[in-house]
Amino acid sequence: MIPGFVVAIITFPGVIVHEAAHMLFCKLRGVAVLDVCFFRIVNPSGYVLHEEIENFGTAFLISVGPFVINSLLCILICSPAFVPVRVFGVKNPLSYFLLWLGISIGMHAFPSTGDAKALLYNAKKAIASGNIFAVVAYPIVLLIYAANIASIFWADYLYGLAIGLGLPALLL
Amino acid sequence: MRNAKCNDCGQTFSTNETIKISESILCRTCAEKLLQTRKGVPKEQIQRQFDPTVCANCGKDNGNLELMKLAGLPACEQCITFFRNRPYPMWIKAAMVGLAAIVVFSFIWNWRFVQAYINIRTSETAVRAGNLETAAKLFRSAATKVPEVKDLSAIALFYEGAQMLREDKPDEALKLLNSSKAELPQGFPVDEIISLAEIGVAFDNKDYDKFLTLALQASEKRSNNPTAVAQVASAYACKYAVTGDDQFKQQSLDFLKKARTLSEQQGGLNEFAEYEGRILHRIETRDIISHDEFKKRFPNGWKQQQ
Repeated sequence: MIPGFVVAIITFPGVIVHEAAHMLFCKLRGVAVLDVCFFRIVNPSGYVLHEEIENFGTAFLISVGPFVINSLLCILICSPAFVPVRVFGVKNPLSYFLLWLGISIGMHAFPSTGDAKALLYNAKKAIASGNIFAVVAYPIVLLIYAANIASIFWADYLYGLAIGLGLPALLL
Repeated sequence: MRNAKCNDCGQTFSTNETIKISESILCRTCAEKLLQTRKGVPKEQIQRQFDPTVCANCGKDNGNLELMKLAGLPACEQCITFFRNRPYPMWIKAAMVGLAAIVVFSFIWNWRFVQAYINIRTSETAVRAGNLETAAKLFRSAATKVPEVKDLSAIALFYEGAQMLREDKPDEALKLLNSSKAELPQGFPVDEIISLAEIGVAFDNKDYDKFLTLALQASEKRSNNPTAVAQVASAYACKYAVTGDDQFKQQSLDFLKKARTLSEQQGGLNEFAEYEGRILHRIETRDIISHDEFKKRFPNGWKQQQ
């Protein structure tokens, strides 16, 4: 088994984009970002520390935002490399660089367990104050935990591969 | 700025320099002494004091006026604005711009692959519609765009050869098909088409013995193919036309009958009729004419004289 910090080093662009996406949604929703670390070689390999959030929708966006941003960037970055590599089998360094970059970003799309805890905390708070829509967070939190457990078996890497290479293959 | 009095030594300090331990406000020195003598004070009973008039981030003194709070701590307006609109570091911005540039560059750089792929897909449609000329052109275009993929050039040669054969130019077709063979991926019936081209070349060269040998070989491999069987009939008809030997005539008619039956079973009688007419005309007149000449002479087909 490869230690998590080694995986984080190899796929560091994904960590940076993940944290940048958290920060983007904080900025979009006017949430104060008290501290941010885009990459470091300890666990967690990155974090965004923000003020307490009163609105459940905002908390949801900040927690789940990187999933959307990382996934979209993975597809966007892998797509120019897909046809030469997968269709024609042409091996050029630029295409392989793009695939590494895209899949690295895609495999860090899953929200972390820290994101799940924050989402759950905010969902409980929202439900207590009468926002029944916040219950949608529960299955999502479960999914996040399941995805993080499955990451032990490279589910995050497989997800990156699936959206970076599998999705264009389906579309073509 | 607000001050606080140490409950132990009695001296006055700025509030930010004091610590609250179990309801007692102490200066740092007295707090350290107390913690050394009284071990095991719960962490939650030790609290750093914050002056509500001094910004916890930049230390700006707001006089006697209390500041707004951010994350439970006093913060000045500038600091709150900064935290709420915290800019991305320059290296992140530069990396994102670099990333966008690489992606745009890659799309432009690799666009020829996308164009080649579109050509291939379009040519597949052309092949299904029987338009070999268009298929050949599209594959040639794809091969030019992606010269590093040798298959594409070979496939283009294959379709060009097949088109030449269709245009009754077997000699040129044979050259193209033979040069495509080495690099052609599996699944293309190149040997079959080469065999047809060789038959065509033998016919053009009036080498009817070779024509017959090749036609017999082809019909053995494709015994259910009406055209392959009819080619044997055509070769025997040529032999009859040249020698006048009735044995060749009978063999030609036998193979023609077999080809007709196969054609009826496979529902391709219309395409077969024209070829049958040519063979029967050859037997009847002992005149061997090319496909083009036959079409010129008998644009509405040839009917056997009663």
